[in-house]
This record gives sequence, structure tokens and C-alpha cells, in this order.
Amino acid sequence: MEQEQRLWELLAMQHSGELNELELEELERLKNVFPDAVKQFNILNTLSFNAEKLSARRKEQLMDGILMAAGDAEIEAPPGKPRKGTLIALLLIVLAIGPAVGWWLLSARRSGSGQQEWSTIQVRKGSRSKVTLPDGTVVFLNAGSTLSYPNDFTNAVREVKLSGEGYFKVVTMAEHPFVVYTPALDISVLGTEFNVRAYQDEQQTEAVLISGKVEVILKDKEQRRFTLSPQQKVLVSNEIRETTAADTVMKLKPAAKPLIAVEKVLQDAKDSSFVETAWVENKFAFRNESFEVLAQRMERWYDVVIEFKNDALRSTNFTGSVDNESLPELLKILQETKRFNYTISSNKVIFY
Amino acid sequence: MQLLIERIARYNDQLAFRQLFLHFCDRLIHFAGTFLSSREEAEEAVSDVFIKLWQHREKLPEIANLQTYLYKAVKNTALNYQARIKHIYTDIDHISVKINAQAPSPEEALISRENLQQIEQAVNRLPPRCKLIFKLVKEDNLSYREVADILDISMNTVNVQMSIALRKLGKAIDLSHPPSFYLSKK
Repeated sequence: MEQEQRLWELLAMQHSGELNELELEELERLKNVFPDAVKQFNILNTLSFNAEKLSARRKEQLMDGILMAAGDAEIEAPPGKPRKGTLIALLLIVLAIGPAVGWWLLSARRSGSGQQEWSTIQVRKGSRSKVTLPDGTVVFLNAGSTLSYPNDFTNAVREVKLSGEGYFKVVTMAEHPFVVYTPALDISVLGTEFNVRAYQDEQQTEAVLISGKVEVILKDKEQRRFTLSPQQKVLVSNEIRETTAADTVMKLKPAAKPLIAVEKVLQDAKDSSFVETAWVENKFAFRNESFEVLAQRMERWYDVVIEFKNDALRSTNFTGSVDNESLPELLKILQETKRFNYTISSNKVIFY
Repeated sequence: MQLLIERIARYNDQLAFRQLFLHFCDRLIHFAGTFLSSREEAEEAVSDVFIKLWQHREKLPEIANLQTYLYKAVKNTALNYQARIKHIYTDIDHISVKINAQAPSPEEALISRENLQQIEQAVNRLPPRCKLIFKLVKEDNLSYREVADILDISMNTVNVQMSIALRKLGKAIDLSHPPSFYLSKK
């Protein structure tokens, strides 16, 4: 009996790799004496043990609470130790009353009263962020983007200004349309999910609708409007501001990019994802994208400066997707499709 | 993991922070639950740890083993709560996490469904401290050294407790009535 107990002890110790040679010998000897215990031990090793998991929704709630409390404490706390216990308590009450009121409390503290004051969220290059607006709408912001919204978010129209790229999950409020303003187009919705890419250093602004219905208002001279259906995207040239409807047709040179284009977005057959929204999942994805545009995106995604010494490379197209990879890893993958050389020094990348 | 940490510390990447949280939250909340009386308190303790983590994110890369660091931070926070709430637990002898046992798949299972349930009951009947150690090793995949480090106990104690757990559960495995297909294979 005592011998068998010793066997279990040795089996347990073996797991941590702490057995010396003598003990290993002893283990082998005891294994032969108690074959049933060995069988039981082996079967036990095939089993997995799990405790109950939290719902994804609850995890999201906790995460939002953490970021809110952490951000708030940073602003409020004097150099000493912030009192987190109280903050959590406050946060829980705030969540119970409703996010709108909670946000109002926070933003009121941030910038005092004032009728048309706007709050701005800036996301640095190389970084991404997620914000929850006072109405519960969730916005993912890509690298190098800016989102502004009025501190008083109870107006008839919920309005935000976007420069850069954002993925919006808009909470439905029938009496309060949600409008995203960008220089080339505005998007008006009641409740839906869509992605807007409006970087001012790019040639075009792009909006992709995932579900629901959105109205797009062009910033051309006639302020033309049209609706977008799910899985459609609209591409609008950032030069649209100076044009009229006639220009769209007339000025079109054969090779020039159209001022406006509406396309169907392609869904990945395997995981039904979209290239346009992959960044929300931390993926850097591109389909048939020119190296020139890709380089601009890499500059923001990895916070680097890119220079082309070989202009022919600019028009090379790439398709692919990387998950959390570093810049050198991504470049290695690109080099598999097209031969090019590069150097990286601190934050500068040169292609030649 | 290293890349996640760098993205958080260097770029203030909230999405990376979110990923980190999702990776650890179930295990840490269960772990906190072994020191506290309600799930809400356990969630609060883990939230507190992550709030501090975000506020001091620039120091993240200095932490040698983030996993054990998080468990220890959760333990300390939970113990502070105990003092605050004035619940008197003298030891870690309060554990409420129920553990389910799972065989890889019905075809591969070497034991019957009834027997699996018996093993599950045996796990939940283990002495609290023994169960906690078993859970950290088997479910959370921590090494004995990490468990010893987190719980502030000796490697030897981990060994002894693990051998007790393994022996009790091993004994619960019924070798005399294997499932029918197991017989037919022979």
C-alpha cells in the first residue's frame, strides 16, 4: 500500500521533470508492480478539466469597465494612489443608470459645461483603439485616425466627425439618426454596422456596409444622395468636392479612376470575413492593392516612414493577410510574390 | 504574447490589451473566486488588477513572467478584499469552482460516461487546497514551479498535493467495466 502511494508520488513528480536517475529507476520498478495504477494514470491524463466560462458579453462589459475606470482614474488621480475601489463602485452604478448618463458624467468632468463642445479621440500610428459612444455605439478606430463627437450627445441627430478609418456598430435609435461626416461624403444611418475609410493622404474615401442600410451623401456641388445595400462598398474620389454630376460622366478619361464607384465587397469563402474590415480583428489584409497604397497603410499600421527608390514597385499589386505579424515578417511574405529589396533603420523603410 | 505586450506598452494599443484580458480572464476570475465568496467580487478583483495594468502599461515589458504575475496580483487583491469585506477565511480553504471533466471524444474515451461523472464528482470532493492546485496544473496548464510561486508554497507541497489528487482520481477510474467498443477492439 505504501509502495503504491510512492508510485503516485513519483508519477506526480515526473510531471514537473524533477526526477533524478534513482527515482526514475524506482518509478519503472513500481510501474511493473502496479500495472492497474499506471493504466488509471494514463486514462486520467487523457481527460481535460474545465470550469465554467464567462459569456463573451460579460467579458466585453468587464473590459469596457476596466478601460473606462483606468482612463478616468488617470485624469482624476493626483500623483498619489487612486482609489480604485470607489471608481469601480461608481462605474457599476453608472452602468446601471445607462451608458448615456454615465458618459455625460465623465465628459462633463472633462471639459466643463458649454453647448457645442466636442470631444476628440486621436489614435496614434501603430496603434488601434475601441471607443463606446454615449449612446452605446461602438467604434473601432484604426491607426492614425481621429474621431470627434459633441459632448452633449442627446441632440436630435447623433453626429460624429471622422478622419481616418473607423468601424461603426451603431445602436438603433429610430428618432435619432447617426451621421458620420468626412470631407468627401457623409453617411447617415439609423442602426447598422459599417466601415468608413477616409484618410486625407489617400486618393479616395471608402464606405463598406456590412448589415442594415445606410444613406450616403456626397460632398459634390449637388449633394447627391444614394443608399447602400449590405455588402456593397462605395469609393469616392477625394476630389469630389469641386465636381458636379456632369463631371462624373464627362471628365472621365479612359484610364482615370472614376470619381464614384459602387462595388460588391468580396467575402472570404473560408471564414466569411471581408478584407475591408479585417483590421478590426487585428489582421492586416489587402486584396489587389498597389504597393503604393499598401505602403501608406503600412506607415500607419507599423508607425514607420516608407520611401520608394524604385518607382516601378509602386504599381505592383499584392493580395494577402497577416495576423499580428511584425513588419519584417510581412515584408518577407510580400517578397515571396514579388522580388524587391529593402532596408530598415529605426523607423525608416526604403524599398529598392 | 511578447508582441501583444509590446503593442500595449509602446503603442497604447487597446485592442491588444483587450486580447490579453480575454486570454486570461476566465482563469483569473475562477482563481479569484477561490478566495472570495461571490463571482461579482471575483470579477471586481480581476478588473482591479487589469485597471492597474493598463495604467502602468509602460512597465509591462519589465515583468519577467506575466502569467504568474497576474495570478499573484489577483491573489493579493482578493486577499485585500477579504480583509475589507471582513469575511474571515484563514486559508485558501474556500473554493467554489465546479470542474467538469471531458474525455477527448466518445470514440477515444477509455471510460464510460457514468465513470466520467464519478471522476468529476471526485474532483469536486478533493480537499479545497488540493483541488486548487490540481486545477492550476491541469486546467490552467501551469508548471509546479509556477503554482508554488503563485501560492507561496514549496515545490514539495505542490508535489504532495498533486500526488494526492492524482491518486484519488486514478482510483475513481473504473478499469473493470470499460465501454463496450473498448472491449470489441480487443
